[in-house]
Amino acid sequence: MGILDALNTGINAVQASQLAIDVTGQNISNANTDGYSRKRVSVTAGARRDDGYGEMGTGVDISGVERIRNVFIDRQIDKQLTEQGYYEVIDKTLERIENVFNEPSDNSLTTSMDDFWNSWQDLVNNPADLSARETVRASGEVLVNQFHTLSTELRDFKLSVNGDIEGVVEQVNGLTKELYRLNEEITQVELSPGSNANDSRDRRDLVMKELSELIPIDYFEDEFGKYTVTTMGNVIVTPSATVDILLGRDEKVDSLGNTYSEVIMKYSNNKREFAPASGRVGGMLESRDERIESFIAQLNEMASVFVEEVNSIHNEGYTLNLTTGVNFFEANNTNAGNIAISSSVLNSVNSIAAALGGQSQAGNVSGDNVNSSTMFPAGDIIDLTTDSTFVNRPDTRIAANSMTVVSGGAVMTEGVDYTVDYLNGTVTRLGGGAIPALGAVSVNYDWGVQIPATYPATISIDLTSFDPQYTELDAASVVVKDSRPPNDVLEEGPGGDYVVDYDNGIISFVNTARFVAGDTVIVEFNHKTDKYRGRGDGENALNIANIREQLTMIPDSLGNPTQTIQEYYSSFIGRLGVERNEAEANKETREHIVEQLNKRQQEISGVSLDEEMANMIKFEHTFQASAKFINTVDTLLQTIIGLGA
Amino acid sequence: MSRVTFTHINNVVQRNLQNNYSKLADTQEQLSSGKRITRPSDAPIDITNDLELRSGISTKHQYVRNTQDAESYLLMVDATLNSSNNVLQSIRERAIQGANSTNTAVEREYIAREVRQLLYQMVSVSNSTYKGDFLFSGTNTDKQPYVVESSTEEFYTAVNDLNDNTEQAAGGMFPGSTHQLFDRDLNDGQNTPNLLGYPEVKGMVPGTVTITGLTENVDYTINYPDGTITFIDDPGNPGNLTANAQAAQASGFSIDYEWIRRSEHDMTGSIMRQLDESVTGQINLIPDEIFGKINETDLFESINIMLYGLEQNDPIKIEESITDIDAAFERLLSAQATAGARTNKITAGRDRLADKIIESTRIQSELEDLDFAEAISRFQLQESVYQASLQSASKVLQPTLANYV
Repeated sequence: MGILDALNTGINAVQASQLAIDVTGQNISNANTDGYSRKRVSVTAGARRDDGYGEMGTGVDISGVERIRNVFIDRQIDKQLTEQGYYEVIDKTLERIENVFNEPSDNSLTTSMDDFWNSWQDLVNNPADLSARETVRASGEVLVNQFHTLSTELRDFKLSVNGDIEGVVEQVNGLTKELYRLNEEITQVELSPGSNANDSRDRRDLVMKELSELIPIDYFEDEFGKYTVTTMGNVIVTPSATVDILLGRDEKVDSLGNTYSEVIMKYSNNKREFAPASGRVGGMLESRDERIESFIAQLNEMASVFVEEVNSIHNEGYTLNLTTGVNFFEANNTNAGNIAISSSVLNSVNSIAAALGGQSQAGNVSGDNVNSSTMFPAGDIIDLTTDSTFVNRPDTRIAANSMTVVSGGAVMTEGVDYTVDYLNGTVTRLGGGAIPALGAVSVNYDWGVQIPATYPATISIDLTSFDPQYTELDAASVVVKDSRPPNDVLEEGPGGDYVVDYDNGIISFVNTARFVAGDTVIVEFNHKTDKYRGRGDGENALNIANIREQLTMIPDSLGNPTQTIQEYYSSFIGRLGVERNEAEANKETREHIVEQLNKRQQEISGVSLDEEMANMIKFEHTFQASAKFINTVDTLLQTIIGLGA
Repeated sequence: MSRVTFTHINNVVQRNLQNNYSKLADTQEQLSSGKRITRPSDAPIDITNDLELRSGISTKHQYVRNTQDAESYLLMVDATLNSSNNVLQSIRERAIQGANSTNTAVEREYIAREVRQLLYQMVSVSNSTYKGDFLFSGTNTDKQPYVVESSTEEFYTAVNDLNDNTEQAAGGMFPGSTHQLFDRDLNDGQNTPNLLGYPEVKGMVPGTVTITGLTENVDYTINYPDGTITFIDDPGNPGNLTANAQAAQASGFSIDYEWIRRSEHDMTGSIMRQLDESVTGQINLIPDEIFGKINETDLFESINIMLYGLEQNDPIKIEESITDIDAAFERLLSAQATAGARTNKITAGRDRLADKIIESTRIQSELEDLDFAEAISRFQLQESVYQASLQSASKVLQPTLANYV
């Protein structure tokens, strides 16, 4: 080995120390840089073969600068970030829904509902009092407004999520472009053997983290150091291109019938829908389509039960104007967004039905009967008036052509096998005829009210003569049919066949040519079973107030409701709390995991200032020693050169 | 041994400071609001119970309001029944006084005047109101239950007067002739052939018949229970009407009289108050319970019968009428007992309700309100933890090797 070689060894050592100090400087400068991994100069001992002594060192060889990092931890962090991003969004969404419902407080739906029911109780205490009625209407309006506010805020929130999605998707597209650029950079740098694109890799790892938080991703590295990134099985970054997420708007119709536009996302290459299930975007989609929507739906369910239950009782009651069938809420507005007090109640509080009204019940003065009897020899009589539904009066009668008598499957013939006393309701067996018909017979017949013998001079049927309850007939409920098949329905009205005095239960025939005396009609109608009990009657209001305690929601398997409105509401607010807690706990867990992973990564790749300081001193010393070595070799050289002088 | 880096320590310190500070802020929020639960996620299970309790307490407060209203209503009922009782008591005393055979006709007439006033007072008491609503007309609270009606019966001179429902003075009036009085306007303007044929008529008030120019028991007599007038044979001129009656017959005349009318509206409707969850109570008493049913001899009719005895100066009749008065008394007393029982039920319910409200409020407070002692000590603990973390951070973050090299 020549002495000049020793000089080379010294120079290598000086260079290595200098590079190490450079790298230390770089580490110290980037101690606080996000995503920076500490770098280290890797060196190997140089060697050559010497004939005399075997292998001999030639000093130090610099093989490169490498970053110290565990990429597997990065992958784990990426996965956790996707979950963390998802839960963060869900948590924020639920927090905002909590704010919308503002429970528990004195200005919430619970309070409005309580005030509403209480106002009905006050009305019970003063059924005819106008101020009590005003209070019912006013508390109804507050309730309606409360529903509107909640519904509007939830729907606006849902719409605003679209804007958030657009913002985030643009970020995604930006990040994929940057990944593509970094891929290119890394490949170019690493083309020359032994060189590492350390800082670009650090930067790319950081971008991957940012992207992971937004959407779920998978990736792998190819032999040129390029990443291929996929999301939900679709490629979004390839070595040669990026695939954008395209944003569009879709027209939708909400439960109120209003149109609104909703963001849709598609991959730019295959135009398939992009619908991530996790990451911030996944959280936003779920917020928009499920979480917020479910609360809107539950609110709508409550509003519709309110309208239905209150109206069904309110309809039965008497208003101060002595009318029934008035709605308290608009019957068609069953959505939390459009629930409204009915126009009749808005116009006048007299239209609030505090007094108990009659239950509507079907009534008739006619029948379609089957009589099963036995009939023995000629002269035997079947008395149809013993049938429970047959009302035998001078003005009732069996309808002509309506009777069939069957014996043992054989239809008997009127006038041959039997005769009928239409007015008195008896069937008499005749001797003649082909059918022996001894035994069981069934008689199928209709009965109705006979058109009086004095028709058309006397032309009315007084229903109250059948039952005093047959007054106060439900409006337009009377149907009169011709009893002769095919039972033509007669026309009501002054220009038709008959008119009805609904308050007194009297039907008067105005078409004098329609019948002949002795014809029969079938009369069907609905009537009220109870009468108006006076202004001081508040029982209907009491019934409405008691809806509060009634089970009206969530039917069980038999269709019986299992919850009151308040219970339904309380439990869905409870569920809101549970969901939020769950999201919050999940979010915190992920944050904790990410932190732990980051800690591990920091342990590996973090810059420790103390360590760098120590290294600096160390490298300074090696530098000094190497310089001293060169100095020594120089002295040796000088000595050798001096020998020849 | 794992490497610990400056950045890592920095992160840990920052996060811990943040955590401690946010815990401190949470506790501070609880302390300033006094509430443990300010949003559903603070305690999802408790919030469900809490909302139920809130609603329940609000409902119970409403029941208290209902109860208070019911109590003041019944107080009014009770006061009214007491006055009725007092009035009836006076009437009964007058009856016993009047039945005393030592009384003269004039004395009985004085007593009769007094009783008549008491009768009107009784009618007026029966029409007592609460907040403008009649107490004793069932749910028809705007309909007066009992009215003193003033009616007029015309006797025309013409034989063929167009109104064929009127009596004809010219043809039918002679000494001893008896005529049925009737009211033309009872029940919806329909003519009423016989005033007393209607159950809501509770008798003509004896002593109220007046005919201008004629004198009762001189020119005519009235049978009040039957509602008939009979003209008297002139004792100075037998076979003829009195001179005054003849003059009236010639000119035509009208008969004025008063009678007691019970409302024809349904007065049996019960007024209910919700006193507690699924507890309702009736608070009103109906006329049937207090004064008598429509088809029986009620309190007013009994007084009228007694008055007639007084007017007729007939101690036996008066004596007999006391039986009816006593029956009316019984009814009134039993009505008072009913009112008392209803009041007791309500008062008992109110106390139970108050207990329930206290209990519910206590549970709600446990759920919702902050345990201040616990919260303050927690706050102090957190504060010292926060202080400690700040101090240790300042120590840990300061030194690096650079300080010593």
